[in-house]
Amino acid sequence: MEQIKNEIEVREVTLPGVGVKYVMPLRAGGNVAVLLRPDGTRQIYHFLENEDRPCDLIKFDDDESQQLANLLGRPLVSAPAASELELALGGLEIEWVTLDEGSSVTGKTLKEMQFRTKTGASIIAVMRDDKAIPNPGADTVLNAGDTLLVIGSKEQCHQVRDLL
Amino acid sequence: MSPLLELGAIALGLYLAGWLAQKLGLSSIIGYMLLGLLLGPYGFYTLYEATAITGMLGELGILMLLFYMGLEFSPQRFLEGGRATTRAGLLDLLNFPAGFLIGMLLGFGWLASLFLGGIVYISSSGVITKLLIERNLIAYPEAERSLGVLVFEDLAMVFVLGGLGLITSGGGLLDFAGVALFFVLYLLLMRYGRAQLERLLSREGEALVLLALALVILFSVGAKSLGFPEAVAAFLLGMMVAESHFKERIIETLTPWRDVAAAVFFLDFGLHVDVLGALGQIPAALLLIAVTIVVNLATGFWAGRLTGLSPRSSVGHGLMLIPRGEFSLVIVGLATTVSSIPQNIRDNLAGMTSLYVIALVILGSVIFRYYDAITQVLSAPFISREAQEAERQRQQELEAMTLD
Repeated sequence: MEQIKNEIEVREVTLPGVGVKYVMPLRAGGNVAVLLRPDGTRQIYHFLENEDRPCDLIKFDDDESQQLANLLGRPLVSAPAASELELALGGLEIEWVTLDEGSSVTGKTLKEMQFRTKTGASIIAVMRDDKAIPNPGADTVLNAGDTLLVIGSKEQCHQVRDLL
Repeated sequence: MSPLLELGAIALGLYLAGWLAQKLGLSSIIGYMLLGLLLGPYGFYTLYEATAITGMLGELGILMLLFYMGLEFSPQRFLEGGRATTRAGLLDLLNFPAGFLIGMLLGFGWLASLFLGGIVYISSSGVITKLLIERNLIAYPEAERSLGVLVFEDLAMVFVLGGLGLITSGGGLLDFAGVALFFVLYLLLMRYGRAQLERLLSREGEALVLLALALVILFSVGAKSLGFPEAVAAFLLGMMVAESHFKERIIETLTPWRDVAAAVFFLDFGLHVDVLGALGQIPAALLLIAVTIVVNLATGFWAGRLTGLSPRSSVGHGLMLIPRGEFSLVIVGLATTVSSIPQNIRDNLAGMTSLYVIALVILGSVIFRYYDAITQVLSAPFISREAQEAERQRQQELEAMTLD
């Protein structure tokens, strides 16, 4: 049981032989009880204000509760945030381009491809096997499955995509 | 019948009885016990008599039930319940004198009556917890209180068993010396044996099962030879093992063993009950059932109101604690081995308790099925009075405001 200023107080109760129950009051009135069972299943009970009988009950098995937790915890990507990013980049775009297995450019170096000369866009990093190679040198060899981080105007990025 | 064939028959019989009971929505305890009642030497078909196998596995069943009780008992959880649980638990204790008085009334004598007090006192945490989950009542406020009381009962049960064990062992000077010796050994083991126990228990699979069985049996039998009640010894061992890091693994690995041994215990108990004699105990059992219902409703309601539950939840708190089961049978099982209680009274006690437990398990499943309707009806008189009072208060407030 933990209470921080301005935070919603959650009451934790151990139910012997059953699991753990958390009770959270709702600002709109009433409260929500979440029951965690040792077998991984979860139950959510909704109590209306001044009622000690739940008006609704939802049961989740292991992966359903995981999925619900993901949904509830997912950050909201709102439209203003995206346009702010564009503004901050001054009209530039950053694109992720992945090389397919049979791509004609595999085995060639960045120097041979001459991306900057041909399009004006820069390769600022190569992502390979979950590792990033920042600021790749001109003699970096491109492999199938690599992801290139391309920065440039919308038009320039598009041209890079065409070259690949 | 060869012992091996007998074991096979027991396994098949228990499986079928448990399956049938579950099919009827009842605890499998009832199925196991009824199988014993119907097939035993006193039953309708004498298929086989209570044998060395059922007797031995049954005894192991008692030890395992108590060992698990200790394993799952957490002093911290007990304290967490706080004052509300303690108050409710103390009121719930009134079931004990109620059972004792009925025993005296029926002329059982004080010793058998003490056992009856224990039988009536202890609710079935197994049956109640299962019904609470099945019927989706687990999030109700009174379920929290009831589960707390069940933990309280577990602790009280240890004192009941300990007290009864000491009384029936004779209580001579030598016995007390033995009990004291056991306690000293236990405390020394708690204090200095932890690391060794921890190392000992870091096993898996059959090694863990064999080791745990050996520990439970030898520790309890050893305690008994010192004059200490073996059931309580099993509980104390469980509490000690609960401190180890391997608690969860032990619970996981041993649960089927406990359940099988307990099933045989219920069967063995049933085999020893004189069925026709038990039918003669119907009036006494009905009295016991009625008193249990009344006492639980009264003390439950009182405890609920005292600890801040609504009238409806308070009625429910009493209702939830009505089912009796495994531990009532454990206590009556111990009573049937006490030679200082006359044989006919032991028989009556066994017959009466079997009827009592069967009836309350069935009643419990009915109560939990119609729980909302029952609590609404029973709490109606209390609610209307409260609602009236609240209404009157609101009227007065309104008048005061208009006067301003």
